[in-house]
Amino acid sequence: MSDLFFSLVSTYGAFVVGIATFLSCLALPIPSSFVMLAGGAFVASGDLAFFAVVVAAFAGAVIGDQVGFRAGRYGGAVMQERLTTSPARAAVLVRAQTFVERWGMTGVFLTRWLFSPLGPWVNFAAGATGMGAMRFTLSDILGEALWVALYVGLGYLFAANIETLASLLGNAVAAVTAAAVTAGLGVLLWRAAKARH
Amino acid sequence: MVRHLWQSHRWLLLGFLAALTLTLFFAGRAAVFAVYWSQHRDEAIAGWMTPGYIVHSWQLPPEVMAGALGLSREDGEGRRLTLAEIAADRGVPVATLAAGIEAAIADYRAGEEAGQ
Repeated sequence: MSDLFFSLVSTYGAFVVGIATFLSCLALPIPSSFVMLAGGAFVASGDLAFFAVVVAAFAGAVIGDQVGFRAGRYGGAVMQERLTTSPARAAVLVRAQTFVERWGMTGVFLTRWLFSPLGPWVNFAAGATGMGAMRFTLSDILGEALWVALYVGLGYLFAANIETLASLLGNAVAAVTAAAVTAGLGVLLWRAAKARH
Repeated sequence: MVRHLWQSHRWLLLGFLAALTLTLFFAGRAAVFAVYWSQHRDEAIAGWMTPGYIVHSWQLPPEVMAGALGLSREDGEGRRLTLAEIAADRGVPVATLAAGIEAAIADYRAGEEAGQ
């Protein structure tokens, strides 16, 4: 499957890279990291311009994240109306908002480049729980800049082996993300176990 | 304790075990690709590659590539073409084109070794 995306990049250029990062930030199953690696590799081979690839990837990602965040805002307003009708649910909402208040910027930043499979869901959650647009956008821009620099840079450096590199990175990112989810659930389990005593 | 958790927080426990299994699964796959990469440096020639990409990746002089494809230097100007597009233009399978390029690379490398 990676072959298909590599040939889309070599045929249609930087444009494909921007579309891919945009769609993947909306939780569509597009292997945008493969596409950015390919973009970097074709910069190294002189087929694509560095500036065009980086700008397209970054713009696609930031715009996609904003769309997800706005959708969360809209969905969140509807959800809050329902949740606040019962005190128990309202308490859950307050807890979620406190969590986002405290960890929002770190979470948004880390889910751009390190735990990237969680990114689209965090966009929606950040919008729904009322995270400030400025705080969201600032950590989003920093995180996406790092994401684009990492993948385009690695594609450029290891242009000769992007197929294997793409598989290696894809699995490593999935493992790190699953490990973070495991740790999070582990903390909840630990608290549940302690609460019994 | 596990039995208490199983009774009171069944879904949380199952989710934790599922996430743990996925972590080990993907970590294992990443390790397999890391080992594979350390042993396979040359990619196979594929239709998505451009002549420029092959020249860069295999560290060839552009003339070797131009010779293998029967192109002159001027053909390198203008829009990039993939091997798949070149093959389609000529009405030959990509595999035929790839075999020709691999033979030219082998020739070039043999020549390099003999020259040293």
